[in-house]
Amino acid sequence: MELLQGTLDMLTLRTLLFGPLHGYGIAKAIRSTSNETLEIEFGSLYPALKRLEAKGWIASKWETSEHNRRAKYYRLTRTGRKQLTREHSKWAEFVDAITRVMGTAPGEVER
Amino acid sequence: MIWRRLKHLFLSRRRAEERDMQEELDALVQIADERELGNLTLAAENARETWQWTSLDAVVADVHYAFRGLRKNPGFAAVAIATLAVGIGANTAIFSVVNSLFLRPLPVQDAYRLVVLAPRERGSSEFHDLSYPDYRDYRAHARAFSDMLGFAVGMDGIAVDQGPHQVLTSYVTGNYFSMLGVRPALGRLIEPAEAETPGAAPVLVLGYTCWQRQFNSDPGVIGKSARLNGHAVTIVGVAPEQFHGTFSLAETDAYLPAGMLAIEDSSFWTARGKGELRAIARLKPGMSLKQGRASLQVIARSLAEQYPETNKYTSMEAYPEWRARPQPDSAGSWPAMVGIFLTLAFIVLLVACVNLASILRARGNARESEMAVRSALGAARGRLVRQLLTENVLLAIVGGAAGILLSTWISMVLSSICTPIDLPMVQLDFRPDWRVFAYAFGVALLAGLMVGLGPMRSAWRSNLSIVLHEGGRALSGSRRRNRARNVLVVTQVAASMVLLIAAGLLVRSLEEAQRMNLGFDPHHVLNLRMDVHQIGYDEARGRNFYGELLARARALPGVESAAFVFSVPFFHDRFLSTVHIEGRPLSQGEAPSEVSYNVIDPALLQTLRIPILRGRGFNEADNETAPRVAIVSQAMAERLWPGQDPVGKRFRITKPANPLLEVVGVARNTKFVRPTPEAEPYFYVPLSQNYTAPMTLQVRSSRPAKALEREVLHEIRALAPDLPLYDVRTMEESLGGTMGFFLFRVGADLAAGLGILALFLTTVGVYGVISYAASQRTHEIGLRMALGATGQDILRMVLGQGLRLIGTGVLIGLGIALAVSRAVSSLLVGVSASDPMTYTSVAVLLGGFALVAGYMPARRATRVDVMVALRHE
Repeated sequence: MELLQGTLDMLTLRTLLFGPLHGYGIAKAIRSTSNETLEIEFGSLYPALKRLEAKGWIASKWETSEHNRRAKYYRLTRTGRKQLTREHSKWAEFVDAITRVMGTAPGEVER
Repeated sequence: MIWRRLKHLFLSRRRAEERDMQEELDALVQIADERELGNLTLAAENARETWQWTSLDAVVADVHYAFRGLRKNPGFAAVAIATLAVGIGANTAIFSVVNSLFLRPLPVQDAYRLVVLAPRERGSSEFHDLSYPDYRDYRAHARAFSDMLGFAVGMDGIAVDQGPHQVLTSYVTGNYFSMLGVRPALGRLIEPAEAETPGAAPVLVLGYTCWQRQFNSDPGVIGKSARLNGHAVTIVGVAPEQFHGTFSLAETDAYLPAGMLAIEDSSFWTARGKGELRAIARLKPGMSLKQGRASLQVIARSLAEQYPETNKYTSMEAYPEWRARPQPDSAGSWPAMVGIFLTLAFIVLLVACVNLASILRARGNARESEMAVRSALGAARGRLVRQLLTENVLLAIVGGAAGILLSTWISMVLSSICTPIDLPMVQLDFRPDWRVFAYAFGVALLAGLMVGLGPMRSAWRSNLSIVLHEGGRALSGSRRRNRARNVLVVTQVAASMVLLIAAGLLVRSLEEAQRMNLGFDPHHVLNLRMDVHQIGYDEARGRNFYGELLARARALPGVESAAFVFSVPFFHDRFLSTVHIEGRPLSQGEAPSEVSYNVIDPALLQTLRIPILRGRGFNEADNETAPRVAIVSQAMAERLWPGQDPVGKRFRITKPANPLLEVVGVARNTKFVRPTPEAEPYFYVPLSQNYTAPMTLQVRSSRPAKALEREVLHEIRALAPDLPLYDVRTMEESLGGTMGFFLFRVGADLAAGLGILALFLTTVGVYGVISYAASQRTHEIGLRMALGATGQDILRMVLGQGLRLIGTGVLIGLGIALAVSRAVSSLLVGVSASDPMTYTSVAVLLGGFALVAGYMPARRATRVDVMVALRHE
């Protein structure tokens, strides 16, 4: 399933809440947390990381991975955490509103 | 946060980021499968976009990229920059001339609020100066102005320690320096009480350059006494270096109190209606020029009522100082002239830009693939267009810098031709200032835009499938591309056509002016100008000296005749006066005729070989006590006494109260004032009855001028060892002076130079376009030849295509030239603005050059080896 436009930043921030990850790790984590439903294109994730970094919401650092490989790890910053809170409540409002409008599936109404 | 954005601006930082990004992506490839990561190049490109999000940042990146592109193609860069440099250089050079003559403000306080007063008599074509009492009234009553200065320019003899030499002087009112806010470089300046009080001790302030050159910057000169035209003066100070006086053509050598004008004629203080002072006023803050003008006109009207005798017909105009250079009369004419030459220079730029655009198009075909690939990889269209724009602007700026260098060289050359011979101290300072740089920069940007328009448009509309399918090679040239190329060639030829026609008209006009029958014989005449007033001679001594010198000059071996004249033909100074005819009073509202005249020695007409057609010439009997006489030209006779015999008629000059002059003869028409085809009314009065001190001795002799000059000088030295001489040269040389053919020649040379440049650029352009077109068609030509076309057919095909374009360009150019040539007609003499001969010869010239330029590549196309051509990719 393709991502809803504008949700990638939020998903990335949320994923980093559990601890630092490298770029590929973030893509993998989103995919597995969503039970393989959400397809994350690395081609769009990577520029998003750079964008978030430029905004100061995440920070990066070279570290060694569990398999003893060097990679760049991203972590959530303090302002990033605040941003996540904001995005989270906005998202909750959004889902709530959409659910209200959509109601139950059409087939059930007819019955 | 801001810092984080800004740091990307620094390229070293940017390179580190780039390296870091590559490392990061490489590291990820180690961890994950490359296929799983997808298109990493695109990811990187998009990531770069995120840190290029400030536009300034993007510009830096674009500039960097553009520089790299130019460095990689040094040949292209050199040609492009040279082409632009020529175009921008020509424009900048002409602009810097305009700038130095007209636009650069006086180096004084708030120069843009200075206004020049321009009084004029009704019916007169020229402005005159103000009498001192009139100046006092304007200064006292003009409410729109905070202050008003007056000055008079003179040529005087100044002697310090040794014999006098001639200097350019300004006689200034007491408020002159204080109003302009000028401070002395040394000593003090002229003070109010000194300048306008009768009998004040005369003082002198030296101009800076004069102080440097004549006095070796000696500070000891302050306090020294000097003699000015024989009168004792004390040097009290030196004007500052940047200040050159208020006479725009030349630097003032010495400033004197206006009151010194009254030493020999005390009526200076009281007589109205005499032109003595040029007045410059400073507008009060918040006052407009219009309000200033109105306040002056109120005073002019009240003066006309109060003093009808002298001021009845005087009206008053006013111009900003920078527009009234060198005379208020030029305020109307110079913008047109400047406009014409700037336009001609601009055409050269246009033609140069077209050449560059053609080169860019040829190069653009290769780049189209680059653009297509980049846009396929997801680069935004706007981004690509911006990239191209940056490249062109960069090219233009580098070309502009080269152009400025070139223009300083051109203006150096120009200032050496432009130094008119009449006034040796004329200074033309063509050094560039911020205005010149701003103009050059503007022109460069415009050039960049003109050149870049085509490629940018095609980048915007770049159609992937076409480009990728064609593989960057057009089989027989797509229609759109051909159209663009055709437009370029036609524009170029048409623009050059217009420029060459303008140049041709100016050159023809110079020829016509030089070939014109001037009405006198300028050959074998030597001129020497002198002013005995400069060595303090009064009228009696002066008359004596002139008489004695004439006798000695006539006695020299080989001298046919010799005579004195006030203004030699085309001299910068002349007499001009209104004329009142006896027994014919002016009707209400009628303006008196205005006629130029000359003060001559009886022998002058004979010396210049101007025949008397009726009546008689002057003779010894026409002396101070005899009735006043005049000789009129045919044109004046026809204008003032149409159908009558003018001999015996009488008239007055300037004022109805002046003595009557009786016409004793009619002389053949001459072009004494300027080389115009129509004969101007003119008359002569004898020196014996109208003494003037500055005179030119004209000597007719078939002997070589140099030897004659030595002998005449020897006689002058024997009579008056200290007398300064100037304008010593042959009559023919003198005709080339500022008021004669000089301006025609400068105009013709300038336009011809620009025309040759345009012709050269167009030839190169046509050659380039046709060879490129032919090379694009190599495959097709091979095919045709394989199918049996002969070399003749191919030649006809390639050349025919070029010919149609050139022909269209020539025709359009002719049409435009016909429509706009009226603009130059004010600069033309003896040739019509639609002169068929000029139009035809320019069309033949340009068509011929373009034809040769097109023939060479066409000829080459016919020698194509069929097999090679068919395999040509």
